[in-house]
Amino acid sequence: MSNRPSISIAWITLVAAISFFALQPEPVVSPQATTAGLKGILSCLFWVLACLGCGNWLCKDSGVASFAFGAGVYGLVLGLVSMIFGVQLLLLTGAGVLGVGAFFLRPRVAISWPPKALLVLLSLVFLAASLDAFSPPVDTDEIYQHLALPQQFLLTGELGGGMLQPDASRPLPVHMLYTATLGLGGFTGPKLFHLVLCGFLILGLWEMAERRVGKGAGIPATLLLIGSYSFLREMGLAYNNLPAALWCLMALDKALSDQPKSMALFSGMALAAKYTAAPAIAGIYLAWWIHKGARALPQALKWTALALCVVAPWWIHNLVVGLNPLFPYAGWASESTQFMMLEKYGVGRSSIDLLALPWNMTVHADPTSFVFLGRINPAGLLLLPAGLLVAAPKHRGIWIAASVAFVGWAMGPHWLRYLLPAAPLLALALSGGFLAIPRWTQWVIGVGFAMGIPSNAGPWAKQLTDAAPSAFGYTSRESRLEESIPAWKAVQWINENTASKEPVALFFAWPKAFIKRPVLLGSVEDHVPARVHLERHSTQSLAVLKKRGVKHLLVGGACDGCKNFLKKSYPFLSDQEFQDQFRTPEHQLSALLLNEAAKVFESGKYSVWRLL
Amino acid sequence: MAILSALPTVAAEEQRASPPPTVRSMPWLGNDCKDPRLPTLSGPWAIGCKGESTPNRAQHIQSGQKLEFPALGQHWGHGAGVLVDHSNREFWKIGEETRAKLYPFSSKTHAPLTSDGVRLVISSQEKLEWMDLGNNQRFAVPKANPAPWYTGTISGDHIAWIQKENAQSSEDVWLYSIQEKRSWAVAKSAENERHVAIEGDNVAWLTDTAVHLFNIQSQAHAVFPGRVHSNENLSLSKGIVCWEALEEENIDAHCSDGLHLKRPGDQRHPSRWNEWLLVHEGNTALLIGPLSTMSEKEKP
Repeated sequence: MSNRPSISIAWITLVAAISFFALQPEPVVSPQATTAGLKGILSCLFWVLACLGCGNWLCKDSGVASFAFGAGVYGLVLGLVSMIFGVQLLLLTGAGVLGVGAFFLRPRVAISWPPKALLVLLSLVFLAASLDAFSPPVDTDEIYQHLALPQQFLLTGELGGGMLQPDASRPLPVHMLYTATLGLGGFTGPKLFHLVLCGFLILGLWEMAERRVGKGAGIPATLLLIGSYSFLREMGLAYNNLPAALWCLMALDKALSDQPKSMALFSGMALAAKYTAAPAIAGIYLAWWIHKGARALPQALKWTALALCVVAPWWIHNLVVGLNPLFPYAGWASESTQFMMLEKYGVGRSSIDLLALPWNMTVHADPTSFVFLGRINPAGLLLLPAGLLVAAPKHRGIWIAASVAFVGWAMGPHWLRYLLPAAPLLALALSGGFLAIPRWTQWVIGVGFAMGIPSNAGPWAKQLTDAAPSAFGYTSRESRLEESIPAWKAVQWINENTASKEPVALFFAWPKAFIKRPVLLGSVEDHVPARVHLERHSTQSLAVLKKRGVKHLLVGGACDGCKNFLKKSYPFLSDQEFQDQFRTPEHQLSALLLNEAAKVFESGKYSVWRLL
Repeated sequence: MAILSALPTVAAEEQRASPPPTVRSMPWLGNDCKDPRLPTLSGPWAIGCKGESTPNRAQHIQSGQKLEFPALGQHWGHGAGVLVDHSNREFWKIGEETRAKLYPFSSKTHAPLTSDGVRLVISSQEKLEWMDLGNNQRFAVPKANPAPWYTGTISGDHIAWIQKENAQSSEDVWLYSIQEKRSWAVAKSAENERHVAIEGDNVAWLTDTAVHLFNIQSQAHAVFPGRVHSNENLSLSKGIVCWEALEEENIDAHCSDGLHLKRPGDQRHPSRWNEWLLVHEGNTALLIGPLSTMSEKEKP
């Protein structure tokens, strides 16, 4: 082809392309979605580089361990900076600039890549998960905690905490990272950052399985995670279970390499990310201690103290505001309100139930009910005998850590989400079993894995298809929120009709993340903050809030026939216990509202009340 | 109370023709309606729901005739015995078989629809519109910025609504005359005036501490103080407004003709039509009347 026609064709193609994108009635990706997406990508990129830079600067590792270390250090540093100077986006971003600068001074990213076939599969899974990241948050935990706290920190300029902001009184390193990414990139920023972190987790797991368990172990180890709904559903969301999992995995690696200082630091980071990582950390310490021998006890205590130092600032922060340092819900002057009811989750807690737990959690788990509230791939169960009988003696350290992590989880609520911090440890342990069995048995495991895909990927696919139209901008972010957040109209009323500095109190309502006002109370677990507040202050419950400057309340379930709690979710409670725990606070609030407030808006189950 | 004497009351002939007063429980109307407006009176019909959140049954308060129909859609309204169902694009007079076509509108409503049986009021963000039932033409009320959730109301030539100028401003009561094509504030103060009702020349609304009754023609303005902030609507019939008020021990229903329904327990969400009063007592609707024949002693 001569030069002239090819130039002409190129121009025609270019003009046609521009015409298509400019003139078509519905743009491929709406400007709103494009802006939100780009902001999120840039914010995420900035903080990933900052974490890598910080990690490269402070530790000898590069790649996954470096990122994990940098993220952990930033979680702590940003928390300390915010405790001292208040939450200021400029300060947080300035801290990030130092890390980015450090990265360009030492631009090392050494990553051990899995084989091409696995890489393609992982790319597809991560690409799908990005739909969640690019769509507006509608997940309950995101909107009441993981994105709500960063939003509130930026709005009020302080970390808050205390009895009226109990969700802010936990250790918050992951939320400090989310605050920094949210400040720059909106809700998409922290969600994408979490997704990238999951990428590092998977790559780290694959590399560690190949290196520590044996060649070929990386594939089953990674497939056990990405074949499980409980892991998949959180990838594109901003949560703290998988960050804790990454730090646990790194801590185990350091324990097995006999690098106790790094083990302690990673352990502290994991514990600060989520207390449910504690059993995994205990297992990792035990594995290291057994390896070192009994005489290493003083050392073990020393490194435990170092790990706790990473969490200590958050405990001190709690002490300052008069809470139990460990946990905001511990030590409350409340006799009858129980924070979490263990019996609510799983299928039972008798000795038989506990022995049968690996079976029950695989066979009976249901993402739509409190029966483990999630789902895992059956390949894990199929690998258990081989792992226990053959791989455990060979990979003692990994199995000690994984076993303690599992037993610790079994002692707590049987909620699969709480097992996620230990998930990579379990995957590593079980992958050893895969290598130890004959090839035909490996095929059996493969078939088992494939048979578990529909029930695990199915609910996730539903989640993604719901998110996709707004992720692409085919439908607006607002319409997605209006469809998915039951209190959306009440939230809009608050945002449009109240003074910007005036605090708003939430009773039996989740969507704190969208309220552009300082928020008191809010929810967690079984709406514990509202129930405890009503129990503690009784007839003065609204007066206490009024003294704090609250003029409006957003209330869930204060309408005829509305219910915040269903008795069938608590079959283990007697009618009287259910009445005392749940109905009494609801009735108490209704009586107070009737006397001390006027309803000014109502939409469905949610209403807004003005205090008189 | 001199103002009240100027307001229309039930004719003496009607009073004589009425049966003796009774207090009737109306369980058939349903006791699990999520909408606090239900059960309520609409003309001579008590409308309610059973197992649904929108009306699916009606009972004639005098003859006792019972009607069941498919539950109305999410966007519904009523007035003077006419039910309007925008979700299903129809309206009809309760008791009549024929259903007329309701022309659809695209306005995104933010408050329940209301009708006087002839016209319909549609309240949406930054817009208040009215239309004749059976006609497809809609008219916007100029300068109206209706507050969300509060129903706009219509009676004959007048439309009344709760106006909120901007996010920080208080809620005021505004009127619009369709004939004169002008709107004006009837009650505008730092207090939040809420829940307006209109019937003929009478307009009623409430603040947190009083119910107000105003006559457009005579400009007479009666104020009924009380702890009335818990009302979620007001009922106005023949110039008599009814409301609920928190008393020392419980909630009682009151009307501007002096009726004080004092019974054990709470009597809430009163709705009145002529000499009939319907209240919610616990989970049951109670129909009381005919009130005009009741002496003070007989009043429940």
